[in-house]
Amino acid sequence: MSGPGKNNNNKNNKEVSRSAGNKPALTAQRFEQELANAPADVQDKLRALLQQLALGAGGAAGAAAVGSGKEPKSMDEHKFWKTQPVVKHDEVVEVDGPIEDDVPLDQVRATPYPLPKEFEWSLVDVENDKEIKELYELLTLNYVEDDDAMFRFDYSAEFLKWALLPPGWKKAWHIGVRVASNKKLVAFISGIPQDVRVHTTVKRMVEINFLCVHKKLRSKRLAPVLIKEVTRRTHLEGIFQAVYTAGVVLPKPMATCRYFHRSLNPKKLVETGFSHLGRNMTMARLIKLNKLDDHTSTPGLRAMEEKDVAAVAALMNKYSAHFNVAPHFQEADVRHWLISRPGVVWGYVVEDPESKEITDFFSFYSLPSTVINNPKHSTLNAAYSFYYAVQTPDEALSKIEEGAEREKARAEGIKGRLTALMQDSLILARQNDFDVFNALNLMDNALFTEDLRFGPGDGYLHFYLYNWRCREISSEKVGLVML
Amino acid sequence: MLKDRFNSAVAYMSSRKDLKLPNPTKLALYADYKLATEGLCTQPRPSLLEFEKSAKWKAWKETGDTYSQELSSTTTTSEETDTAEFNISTKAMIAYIQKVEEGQWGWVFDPSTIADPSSTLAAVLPTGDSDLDELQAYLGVDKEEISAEELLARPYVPHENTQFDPSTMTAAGISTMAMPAEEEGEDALEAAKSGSVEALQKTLSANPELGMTMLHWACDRGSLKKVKLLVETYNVDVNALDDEGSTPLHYACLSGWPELATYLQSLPAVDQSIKDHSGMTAAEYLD
Repeated sequence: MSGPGKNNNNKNNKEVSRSAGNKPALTAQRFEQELANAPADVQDKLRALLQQLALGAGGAAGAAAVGSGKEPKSMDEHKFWKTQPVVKHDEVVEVDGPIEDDVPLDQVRATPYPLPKEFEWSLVDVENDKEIKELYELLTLNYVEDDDAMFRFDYSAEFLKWALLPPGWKKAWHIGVRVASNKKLVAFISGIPQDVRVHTTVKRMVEINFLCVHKKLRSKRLAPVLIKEVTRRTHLEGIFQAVYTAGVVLPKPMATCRYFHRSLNPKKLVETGFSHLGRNMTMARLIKLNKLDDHTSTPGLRAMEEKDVAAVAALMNKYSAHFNVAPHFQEADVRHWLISRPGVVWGYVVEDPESKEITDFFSFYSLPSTVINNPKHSTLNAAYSFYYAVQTPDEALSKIEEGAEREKARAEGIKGRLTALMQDSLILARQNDFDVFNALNLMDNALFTEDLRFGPGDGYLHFYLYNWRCREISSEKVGLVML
Repeated sequence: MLKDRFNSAVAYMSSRKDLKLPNPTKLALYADYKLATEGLCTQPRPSLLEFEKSAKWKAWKETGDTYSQELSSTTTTSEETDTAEFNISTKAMIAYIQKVEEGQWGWVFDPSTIADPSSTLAAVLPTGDSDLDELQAYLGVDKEEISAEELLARPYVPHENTQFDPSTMTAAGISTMAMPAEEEGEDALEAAKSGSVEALQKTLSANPELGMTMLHWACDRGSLKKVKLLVETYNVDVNALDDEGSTPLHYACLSGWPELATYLQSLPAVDQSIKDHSGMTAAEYLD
């Protein structure tokens, strides 16, 4: 992945010299440099556009290859998305709504789509230790976006169980593909049910995740069949909308967010190549700057327990109302997603020492990465910010008529409290041996990232809806976090 | 699929007696051929005087042993476990085909020579199910004739256009810290050589190096070799102070290089009692 803001004149910069022979990358980098001065929302839009242009270039290069008899992949994949009910790249949505009508149950294809003949469908039993291990191996080795990555996600079996077995989970949506002859698991796609509100509409949707094809079998075109099959299986359950996220630009993001990273173990991050020392930055100074207190500061902060579930659900749904896309959590969802599980997710609440009421909560989850080819470190422990809610000064806000002013007053009203809570979150993550704390610039994260010394990442996450037109949503209005 | 390709390669090679391949190549192909068609060598060793027979037997036997070992070894890295699930015959067929391909002796596999049209999805007639037809029309573009087993057994070759591959649709990659913005001309030497006048002025007035000596930097980055070179060969000031009153020992401790700290503390000239502007001695920074 090429980082923005690199100085092309710096001869000592390995990243740059590696891409020196590659003209488009160089242009992209210059573009990024120019971009650095633009406002944040403009930056994100232009970056999305830049990626789309790259897509166009790939198509053109591909067209030249047609004559050689081998049809290029990018053209094919483009063709596939054209057949799908998704918003087109050049389409601007003004009214939300479905792209295709719901399919009556008796018209849903009853049998699985045929696979190329060497393969067979095989549901993955996530509760079975042997099968979860197969899935874990498939994902760990193949669930990657680029080939020369320095890091590789290292999903734990416990993490996958947490991610795939939420309330209402369906075995029929843990879809695997095996090689018929040797039964090796080579592809997977999953869905989990979730009520999602988009602008003002609440819909039962399926969250699609972990679409993965063995990297040696990418030419077998299993992905479109997997997508069709999971769609068929959700139709069978009467669900016709899906939500998913990706690092790449597909037709067409409803929202685009950027990753931000807070160093907890700066030395290790530099040694693994996760972050870089600037010209005049010393390791000593970096360590000093990122030092955190040993103890949290918020009175009444404690681990979330079963008895807090109702209060947290109420808090979460009230807080989420501010965003334009957000999940609607039932108590069962809160219990599953937000109560701490060792090594997987950490959930905390603030109990007012006097009134004993639950006033705020926050959570983060663990997704470690394997560090590839590093003599000193093998694993990078990353915590990802998950759901949270802080008290908002509702009464005062309700008196403000003008929308923009109310937004401003809301931000000012919660900024201090949220920053203090996230500071505690960083301290707790450090205590739990995390090396870095990651957050997207969604929800109200932009209110604290600068003060708490988060730095911008080189990664973006695009949010997509399947079979739902949706007016574009700016990152700070996204209230949905996907694993 | 694999078998078709193997048979085609064998037929081609037997038609090309004119190639005059070197003996080791011939023997390697022979061994793969025998393993693919007859399995492991169970024949008794021929007399040593029958040179050709003996060499062939040896190649067959030894290649078979090597393959068996590779297939049964469970200590391979996880990347290679893919190959562990194939039998000797499959492995040998794949090896044979790879050798023929790599040799570039002109063999090209023509799938149309295979008489079974049902082996390609594209040949399936319209079904009346529009979703299925659409999918088949799409999948019909696939000209891939290499089987999944063979692909899994081969070394991984990255695709060129993975960026829009729906195979990675839900993958987000791993974001890392973006490169810090470079401030031009902060290096005084560099600014004097190629920077602007303003840049040079900036370096001269603002002292961007924070008063750090080379020894400070070497201690910050943790190189014992460089520190020893500076101290023992160039006799630099081991107690030099930067703008914040920190000694090289402060840097070694704060940056977490215990071996550097131990080395510096062993030098009589190093004053360990120096406090920086925060009132801390170096040892107090050592975790």
